[in-house]
Amino acid sequence: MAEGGPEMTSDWNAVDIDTLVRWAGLEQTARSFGAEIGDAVKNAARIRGGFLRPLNPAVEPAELLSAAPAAAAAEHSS
Amino acid sequence: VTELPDLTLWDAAEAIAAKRLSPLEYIDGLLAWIEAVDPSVDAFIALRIDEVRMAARAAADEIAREGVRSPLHGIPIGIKDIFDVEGMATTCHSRLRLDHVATVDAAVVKRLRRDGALFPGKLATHEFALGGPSFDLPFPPARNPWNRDHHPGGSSSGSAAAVAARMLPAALGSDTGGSIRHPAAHCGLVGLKPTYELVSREGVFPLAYSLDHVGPITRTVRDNALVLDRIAAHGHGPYTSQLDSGLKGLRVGFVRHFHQEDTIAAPDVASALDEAAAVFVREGAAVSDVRLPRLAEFEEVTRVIMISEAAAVHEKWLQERANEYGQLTRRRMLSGFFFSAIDYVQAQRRRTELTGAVSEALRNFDVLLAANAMDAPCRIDDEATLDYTYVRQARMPFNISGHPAISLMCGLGEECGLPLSLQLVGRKFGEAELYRAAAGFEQATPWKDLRPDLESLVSGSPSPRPAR
Repeated sequence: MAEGGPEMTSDWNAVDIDTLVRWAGLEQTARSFGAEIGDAVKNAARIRGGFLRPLNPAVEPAELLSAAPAAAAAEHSS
Repeated sequence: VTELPDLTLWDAAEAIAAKRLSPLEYIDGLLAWIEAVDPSVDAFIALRIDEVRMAARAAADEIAREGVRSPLHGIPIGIKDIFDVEGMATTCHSRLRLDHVATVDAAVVKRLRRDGALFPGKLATHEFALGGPSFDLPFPPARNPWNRDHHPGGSSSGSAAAVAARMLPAALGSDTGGSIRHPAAHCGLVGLKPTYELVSREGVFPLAYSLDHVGPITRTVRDNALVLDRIAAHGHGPYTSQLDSGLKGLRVGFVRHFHQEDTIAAPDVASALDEAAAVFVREGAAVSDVRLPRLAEFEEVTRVIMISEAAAVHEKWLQERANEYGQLTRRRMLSGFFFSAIDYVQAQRRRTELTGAVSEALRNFDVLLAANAMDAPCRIDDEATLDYTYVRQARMPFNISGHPAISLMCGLGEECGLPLSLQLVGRKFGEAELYRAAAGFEQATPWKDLRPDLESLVSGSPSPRPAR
């Protein structure tokens, strides 16, 4: 892929919290822990805002497993 | 303290192999000590006295007839309670898992069992290796044997507390954002997070699949290398081969900006790190500064990946049984529902760059020297300071990158008198060289000879609980 293309970032800050709770399937949890869910939404937004920045489009996601020794992989299936 | 609990793993193994010490005599000595001190430390959440004595007797008979199967034959190893041990509950220190009894051993436990190691019980952890220290769980949190009013670090808190209090010579922990190196640091021990996937995670309850590592916690570097030799994927050891090679000629990159610019370490921690760098120079190593990306970048990427993966594991329970979690676990995991798929992929892409930066630094250096915890251990009931210090650390970069990192004691806190620690980081699958550097530092410093005031733990009174 060519370098310098546009980067998409997600911004859920504008979405209302009831919609987020329904989307996440947390309606039951929200009955007892609504305040904690509100904090979690804010916390996620804070963390997301900290790290998102333009990346070179050629950079692919990390694939740590490809660096693992064959022996370890074999042990997983044994 | 009796003589037996004070034996290092290496010394106990030698004595058993030479038939100077019987595994039964050894485990009985340790069980008596556990009974005396664990009510003060709360390292164990389950003990199997009859079963482990039976296994020790069988080991003694076999060794008498045929000699030892391995250096770990007859040696008790502690197991963090997120690892499956056949016939025992894997509670993950949580109400949600109290009834879960493992039907097979985790792969790493299977390896140790084949070697003849003994498993006296399961050790305390933060709930699901994430939420702690907490007082709203079915078991109390482990205490720091150096001062039981203080946090032992986590999440492999019981593993470190048991080894520091001489209840066991070694224990296994897991490390997703520092959970081996943190308790090792706070308890004055040696804790290794190996290269990603060097030790199997099969049968270990996941926190975050792409960040979880399994490794040993011990009192000495030699003991640590000995355990890794027995649990690592075949073909990468032996890890004890370079322990006496010294530090001369070693190229050490000091990641000074982590604790001097990115997160300002407490003055006693900063001084201890400077003194550690001076030890390397004095012993003939070449030390120069090296720069990696900012610590905050590593932390933010780690958090997106770790919490997203953890929420994926716990999705159903968080939707249907959220009240059964401790508050700290629930609060930390719920954020994972509010990252998007794009966030996760972007974090994994940034991870590629961050990992490359660590690998690049290690092209010019044999090991990196970096801060571990930025503060001495605080009180276990001081919620504000626990929150403040939770993120003040430099361990996450090497969960993200998968490079091996080892925690070593390097001083004592100025006010509290509890252990301070550093990290050494090696090339992927370069654990033998990493142990060489760690052993050289250990031999050149007095820290491994210090230990908690163990007699003070024999009080018989249970651990104090904070008023809530």
